[in-house]
Amino acid sequence: MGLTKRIIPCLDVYDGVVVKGVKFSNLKRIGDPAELAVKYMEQCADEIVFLDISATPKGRETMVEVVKRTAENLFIPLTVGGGVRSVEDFGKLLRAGADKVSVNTAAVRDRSLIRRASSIFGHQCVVVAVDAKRVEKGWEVYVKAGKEPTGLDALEWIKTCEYEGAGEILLTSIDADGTRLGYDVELLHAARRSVDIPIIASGGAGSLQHVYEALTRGGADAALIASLLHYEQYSVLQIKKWLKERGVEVRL
Amino acid sequence: MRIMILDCGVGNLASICASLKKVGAEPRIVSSIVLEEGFDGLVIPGVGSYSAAFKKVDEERRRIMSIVEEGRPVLGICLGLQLMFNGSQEGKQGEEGLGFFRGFVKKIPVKRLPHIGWNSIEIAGKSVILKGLENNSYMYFAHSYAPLDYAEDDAAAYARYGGIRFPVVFEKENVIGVQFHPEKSWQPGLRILRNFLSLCGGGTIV
Repeated sequence: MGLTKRIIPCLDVYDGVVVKGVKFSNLKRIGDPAELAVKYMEQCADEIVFLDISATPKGRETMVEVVKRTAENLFIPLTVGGGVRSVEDFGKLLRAGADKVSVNTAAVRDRSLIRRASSIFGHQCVVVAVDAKRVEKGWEVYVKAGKEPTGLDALEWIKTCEYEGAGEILLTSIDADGTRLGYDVELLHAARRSVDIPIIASGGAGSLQHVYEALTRGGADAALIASLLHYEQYSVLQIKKWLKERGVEVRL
Repeated sequence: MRIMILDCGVGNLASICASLKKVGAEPRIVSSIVLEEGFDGLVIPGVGSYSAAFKKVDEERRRIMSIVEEGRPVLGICLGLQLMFNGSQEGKQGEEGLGFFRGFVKKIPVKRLPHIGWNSIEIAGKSVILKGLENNSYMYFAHSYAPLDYAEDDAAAYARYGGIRFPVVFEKENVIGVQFHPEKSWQPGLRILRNFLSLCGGGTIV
């Protein structure tokens, strides 16, 4: 009883269609975002994340329409990210029916965006997505879909995000992402000790054991899941039942 | 049932609108409360920052009071609930809440805030709005403040988080407030909205 760990399916959306692919290549269409979101809700997903990977003005307009359609039938929280640059972008997505908006590169370029968005819309709807890569000492923040180094220490950066008013951190390990070899548990653990706001683990899940480790040893509050679901390896419900059997508090 | 949703100017109203439709209501988002035109109930949603929500509720204070006095049901969600108390630590000095429930809203004294995610709720006793819900149902929360000073008679359910137990459902005749988001809490949340609609219809909840 109490607060549960969350399992959050992440859907990559390209021009209004859910796609899957390895490192942005060989994209394959796998379905309609609104329909898949509802399917996962019915499997007991705790939230849904849409990530707009088209990163074009047209793609972004399409995303607003997708969010509107999705919100009509989705009764769990929806987070939307990808290409969010301004307070206006936040407003557009929230009005369309998103409950939270995630911001990455734009927050690094201008950290005041976090404060401005959270003071208008509330902290709870500002999610800062942080892409971190292992370096000699600790982890470095990368932007532009993990391509551009920033020189920022990842742990210092998430502390700044918390200070500026972020409600949650979506923390992706660039090293682990796409490998299916497990989350970077050390990164999660270090992040957990650095801030009090919730941490959502992302990148690297290839087995149920990986999810378990992120939520226990890594101390993450939630785990983002993509390929585990897309390859129809497991349903959300199967993942949560497995976790519950091992003593992790989840909602079933 | 025709339900008004008070627009506080920012944030997501699509979710509450969609969930009310799902349970069979005819919701309408209004920037100012319409006393005529036969609306059956009012929802004060809790989206946006405290100051924006306070400003709107303060402007609409008289009309909200009239709705309550006429006996029409009012549902406050999250910040909407918090504004139904005498005041909040989040607000400025002298910013008086609606005062439907006696007490004061404070920051939850735990290390890890905001309190975001699905938390079970303990149903404390007889409640109209929670009818049909199982004890320990999970609801979706997203907040850092809660009415920590309150009258026990008004509280219908509690949550436990970080070693603290705090009230999350309030009920006093036709005024109801919930700290979580029923519109985002899937089936148990929709059940609460269905109960609210029954209340708006003056019917018995079965």
